[in-house]
Amino acid sequence: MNFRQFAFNNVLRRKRTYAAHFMSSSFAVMIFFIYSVLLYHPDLQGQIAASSPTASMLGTMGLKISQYLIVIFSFLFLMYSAGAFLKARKREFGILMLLGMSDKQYRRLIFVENMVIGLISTVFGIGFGILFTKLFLLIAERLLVLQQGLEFLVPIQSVIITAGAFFIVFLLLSILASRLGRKSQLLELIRSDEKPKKEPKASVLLSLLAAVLLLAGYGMVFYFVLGRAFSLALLAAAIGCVILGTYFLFTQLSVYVIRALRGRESLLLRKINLLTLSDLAYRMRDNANMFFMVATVTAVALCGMGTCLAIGDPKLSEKDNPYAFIYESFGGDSESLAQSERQTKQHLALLEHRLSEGGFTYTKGASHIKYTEDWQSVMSLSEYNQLATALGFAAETLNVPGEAFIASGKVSRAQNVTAFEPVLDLGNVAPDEKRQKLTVVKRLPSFVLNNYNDVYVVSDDYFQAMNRMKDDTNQVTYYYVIPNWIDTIGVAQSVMKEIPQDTEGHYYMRSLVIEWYEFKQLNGLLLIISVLVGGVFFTYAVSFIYFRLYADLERDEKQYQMISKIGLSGKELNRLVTRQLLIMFFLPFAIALVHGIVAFINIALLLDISMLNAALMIYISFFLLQLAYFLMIRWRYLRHMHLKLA
Amino acid sequence: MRGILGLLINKQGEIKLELLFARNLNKIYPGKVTYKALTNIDLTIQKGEFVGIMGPSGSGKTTLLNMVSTIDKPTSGELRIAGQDPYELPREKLAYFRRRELGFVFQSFNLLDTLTVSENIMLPLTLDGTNIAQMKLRAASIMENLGISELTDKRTYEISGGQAQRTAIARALIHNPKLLLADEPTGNLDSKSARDVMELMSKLNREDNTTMMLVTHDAMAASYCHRVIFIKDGQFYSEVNCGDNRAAFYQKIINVLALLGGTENEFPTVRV
Repeated sequence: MNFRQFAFNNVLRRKRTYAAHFMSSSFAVMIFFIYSVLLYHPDLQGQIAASSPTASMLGTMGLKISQYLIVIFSFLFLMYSAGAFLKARKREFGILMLLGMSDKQYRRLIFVENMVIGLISTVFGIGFGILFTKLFLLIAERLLVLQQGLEFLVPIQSVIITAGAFFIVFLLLSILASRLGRKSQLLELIRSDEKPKKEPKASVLLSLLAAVLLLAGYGMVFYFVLGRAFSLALLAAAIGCVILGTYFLFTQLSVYVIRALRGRESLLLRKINLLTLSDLAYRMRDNANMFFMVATVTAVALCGMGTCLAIGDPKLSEKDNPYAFIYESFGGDSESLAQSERQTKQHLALLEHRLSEGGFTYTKGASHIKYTEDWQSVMSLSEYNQLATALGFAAETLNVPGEAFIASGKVSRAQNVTAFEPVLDLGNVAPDEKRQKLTVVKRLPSFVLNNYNDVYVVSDDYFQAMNRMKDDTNQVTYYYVIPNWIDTIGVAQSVMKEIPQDTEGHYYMRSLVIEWYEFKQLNGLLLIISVLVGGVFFTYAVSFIYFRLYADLERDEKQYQMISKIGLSGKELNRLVTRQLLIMFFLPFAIALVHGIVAFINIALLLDISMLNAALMIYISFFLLQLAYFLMIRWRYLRHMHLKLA
Repeated sequence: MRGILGLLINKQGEIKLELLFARNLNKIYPGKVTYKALTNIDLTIQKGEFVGIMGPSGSGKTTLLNMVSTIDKPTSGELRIAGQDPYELPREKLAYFRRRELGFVFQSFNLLDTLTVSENIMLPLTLDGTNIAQMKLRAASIMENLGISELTDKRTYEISGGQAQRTAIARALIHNPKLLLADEPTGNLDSKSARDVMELMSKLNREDNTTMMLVTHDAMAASYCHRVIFIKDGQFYSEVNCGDNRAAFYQKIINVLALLGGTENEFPTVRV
């Protein structure tokens, strides 16, 4: 056995110990790998870019940012867990030092150990990533509605980049870990038979500080949103306050609560309460630190997912556009009008040709707009009715001459406006002086027109008689209704290519199917990104709990053995363990939920959308995951203890 | 009269090698209440000697052992092991010193769980970078000598306490240290295993001429020594020599312990 073998054996024969550390780092590697597969998959990039450049760009950016996030947080997490292991192994290092291990050898040992774990988890992470690539490509295919599907292939770039990134992470980690705590005195190492750490200091001042910091943090966030004070420094200060406040909350609160509970003898001396409470007190500081970290990481995961889902929330987009194609011709002045009309005719002919080629039947409609003196849009009833009936609405009638109704534009629809001015003054464009004012009778809120502003619908005679404003450009919008619009993607893509978006503002064309794809792909990408990132953070959070349990396992074994000799029944042991695990798992989770709620309320206020669905979905899925993990750990832990006690 | 290299010339003109030399050792633990753990301890151990240190709980036995073990620096006084003051060595050299000159046996064995029995035994040589063939040869021979050859590939949780302590002794001796330091080696063993371990140590001391220093509570264990030094409240109390009769020596030890103020219950002949 040479020194390297010794270091290898130290890791390989301690598989169980490193299981959580290893699995969480492998998981992070795997997620990183899947991101890079998506990032470098040739089909995916091409297809998304073809139907929606925005989604493609956002996707690329999102995936890259997530990768950075994963690398940075993996590094921090691994630092913590490596530190925890070094602490737990103090005694072992003491023995080795006593046997004559030099500082250089200590550093080498730690370096080799960490490198071994790192390399193995990189290999496993990429391996599992490759195994699951097909599955993820299938999911991505579904979520991103890719027509051609994604070929199963593993881009070699992904493997190289993942391996490279994590090699650097583990290299840095190994170097740092090997420099950690090397100056500790041998005597301390040998003596590190666990002594309880001192209870954190509980002071009224610090408790108040915790409350003040939390309130200040929340207050700043609300001020940021409600006061529209969009300063990054403010936001950073708010986050800092909340994090610090959370720390003090756990260190202070835990002391107070446990002291208060211990102070009540009727409670303390009842059955297993004595054990539960004294155990909590014994590990107060360690637990407080763990709670703090789990709460923070969980809160970050919640907020990250919330933001992603909010950006992709369907309510943010104008999803209720009923027209398969909309073509707006902005017309022109007296000189360019003729040319513009010619171009429009060509474009429409092309579109219609392609549609009939593709076997699509369509209903066509148009809206010619005239303007009042103060630039309110006006159109004729017959044109409106043609569009409305094509969409399946009832045809409208205007009985009394001089009547009009409003078809809501985008702005009014978005703001759910119901009120309207009862009189429309046309000014000098009116047909004659007698008919200068129109009575507005109602407002129709459905999507019939693509215009931004409200459009006044008047009788055909009146519209004909209306004069045009001097600067009117004869704007016309053409609408196509196709029931099976979702199949028009091929036609839409080729037509969009043949009629490139005009940069000079003569016309504008929208295709519903392309927007739908764009929307789906954007949401799909955001969902993939947020779920994966959330997953990584969640894994880290629960790993912290695992490390905490692991660090105390030996002591717990001894203690439970002792207590069971005195006469603790198996059932009571189960209850005792369950209670402690419940606190460990769900106390920080609850605080994270509170942070999350504040964040969600503010995102909702900021973007003026309802976050309720997204928030509920995230909370419920996190809760279920947490519950599953809790049950699994409880089962394993109890089985372990019962075996030890048997 | 003392020479430079720890050579001691006694009155009869014999030259003896002085392996451990300590004079006026003091240890004060600072703190809110400073605590004086050891006061003016003198201790000399000749090469090949087997010396026991005894005393009631808190008398400073372990502190003395820790100082000799090079893990707890004395506050004042002079300490030399094989002519060398270990506390003058830089950290790196001190590590070499430990791995080459000292061997340790503990009450709780302190074997590494990740290693097999033979790997545990080879550990000091591994740290020193000895070549593998020689490492294996020496491990095999010392395991043979200690009667644990059949345990070679066993892991530490598969062997009994007595076997674990033999393994620890093998680990402490594989590199032929100049001084073996044992801290309550029988403390965690039943009486049969304790006796076996002490006979083994005594045999190794006789046959290989290994110098040993033993800290113990156990009069039975101490009776295997050449002489026993008693410490009380951090100060030298008395010294008892073995002479020819081990039974008489054992009785003498018991008597001193009784005088030391402990009851006999505090020093049972067998510790469980």
